[in-house]
Amino acid sequence: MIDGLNPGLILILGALLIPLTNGVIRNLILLALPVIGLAQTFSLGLGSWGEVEIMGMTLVLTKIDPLSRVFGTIFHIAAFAGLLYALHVKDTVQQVSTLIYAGAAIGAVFAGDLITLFSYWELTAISSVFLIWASRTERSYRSGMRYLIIQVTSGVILLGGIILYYFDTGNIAFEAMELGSLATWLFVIAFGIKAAFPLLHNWIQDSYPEATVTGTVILSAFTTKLAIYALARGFAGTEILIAIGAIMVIFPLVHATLENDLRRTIAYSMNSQQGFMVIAIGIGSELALNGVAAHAVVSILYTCLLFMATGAVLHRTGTAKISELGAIYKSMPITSFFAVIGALIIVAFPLTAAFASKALIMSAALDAKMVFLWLVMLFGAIAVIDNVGLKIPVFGFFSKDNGMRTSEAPLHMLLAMALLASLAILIGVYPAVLFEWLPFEMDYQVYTASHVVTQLQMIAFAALAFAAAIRLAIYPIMSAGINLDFDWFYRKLFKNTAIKLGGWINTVWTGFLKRARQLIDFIIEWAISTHGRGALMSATVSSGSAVAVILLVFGLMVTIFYA
Amino acid sequence: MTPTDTKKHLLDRPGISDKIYIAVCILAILAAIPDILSLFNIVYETHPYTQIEEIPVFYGLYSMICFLTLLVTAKAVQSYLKRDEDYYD
Repeated sequence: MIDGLNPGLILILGALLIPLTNGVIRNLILLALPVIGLAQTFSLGLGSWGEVEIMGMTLVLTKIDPLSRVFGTIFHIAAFAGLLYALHVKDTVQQVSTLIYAGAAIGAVFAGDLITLFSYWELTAISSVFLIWASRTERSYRSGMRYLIIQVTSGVILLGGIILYYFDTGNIAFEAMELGSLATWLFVIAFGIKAAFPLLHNWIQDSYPEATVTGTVILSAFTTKLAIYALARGFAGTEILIAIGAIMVIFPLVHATLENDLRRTIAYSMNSQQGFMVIAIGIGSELALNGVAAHAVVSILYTCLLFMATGAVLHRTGTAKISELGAIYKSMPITSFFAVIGALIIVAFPLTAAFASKALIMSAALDAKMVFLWLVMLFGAIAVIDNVGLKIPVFGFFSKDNGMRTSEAPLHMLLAMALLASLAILIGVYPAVLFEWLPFEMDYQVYTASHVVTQLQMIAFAALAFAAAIRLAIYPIMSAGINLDFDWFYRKLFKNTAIKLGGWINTVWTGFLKRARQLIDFIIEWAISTHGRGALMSATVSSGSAVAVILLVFGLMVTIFYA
Repeated sequence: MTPTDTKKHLLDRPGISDKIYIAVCILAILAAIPDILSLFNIVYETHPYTQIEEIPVFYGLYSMICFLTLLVTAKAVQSYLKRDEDYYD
């Protein structure tokens, strides 16, 4: 392996080979690149490489520490699983952009300084939008545009922050910072956009369901988790993140409950799960930060798995809307099985990975004596049992038979799902597999009798409430349509206001031009009337009269000045 | 219809929803038993971090309360938020 080469660059440069190859060779390259990248990550070990001096600033092109290694590793795994899942796609644009996007995200977590981080940060935005545009519909084009504007804005804000930070401190190393200066606030906003902070979140639910089947799987793994990594690296222990995270856990839940589109439901739920990680970053203890890293890994596993299962349904049936789906389990039993596994993982069922990872964050909150916060997170954990854990399988896969028949998902899709599901169960059964790679050493017992019982109790009672709600017909009916969210402000209100304002400005301007033209016309007319042919001022007089007038003027002047 | 088809149609059998409902009820009761037994210090010892966890079947009850809150809120706002699919187009 090339010493010090950022593993992300292997994927990015490898992407250039894709257009030159086809068939089996191309597939082999696609699958090999993440494996080589992962091998490079582990062969490098911990440390920093590639220090470059530019204009008095020290760039560190590759830096691997325990925190970035966890994120880098799961990014490689997600890239591999995503590419395996997308093996049937023969679209070069999607394949190249997937590799560049994954490579940029990996490059960003292994960036040792802010300038390098910024370069990869922007690259993730630009490369990923092609996965949305690849749907090649008018709606996906518009959605992609909004996505791109928001993502690039995050990058520009980050750049602004870096410039100010460099002027403040003379340093561009990416390390823990104190929130206070304008520069650091800009960092938090830039990271917050990509992490989907409340009110900055709508790009996720807007764009992910518009991307291609495979594109959504890829998109869900990187951008938001890269932002979590950046926050954890820069702002661990920043108290305001606790409040932001708490709102984030609750805010998307109502929409997740009401949403008709399966992929959008998962996008909302994922947003809520991001909140858990933001809270843990805010708590900032060693246990909490281990929780962030562990939950980011697990969250990528189950989110990708669920997007894969729902994506397979969309791939086969052409829809992922609850109101249109029927008894999918009859035609796609294996995919349905993986959807159930994904649901079990997300509800943190014992022996699945989230049981271990969520526990770290919950315990960190209790260790810090934050009982209210703990109750908020518990609320989020219960809500996810409803709006993903039960809703997705029950309404998406095991719904009433409406005669819809299709065939099972392709083998490579099933293999990709199997890979993620087995990893999540492996971590659930042997949490140490994951825990020993976490940034801090800890002695944490996941499987205590009370933890297992209380978790089962929570799931069983939520399931009971869910079943009772359906039985009593009080569960909200999911019908065709969308639910308004904060993006209404910029997609409707601001847009309409801008159009109206533009209309007014146009009216005023046209009116002004009209008046001005009338004024000029009037002046011209008047000038013609006074100076035109035959008018008073243009009338010629005899030389004698002219001389008489001049003499009169001179005579008057002489009289006035010399009298 | 092949035999596997018949087997797969298990969920289509009449009365299956009642059976599932009863099964879920039984599961919930089973999950609550350890907490109730712990009141009499039988079998099971709780490890509460907080006072609130000392309420018997706290997790189960909190779960139901949260679920109902979410459901009521969602239903209440649904009519305000619902729009046609092509609303933004």
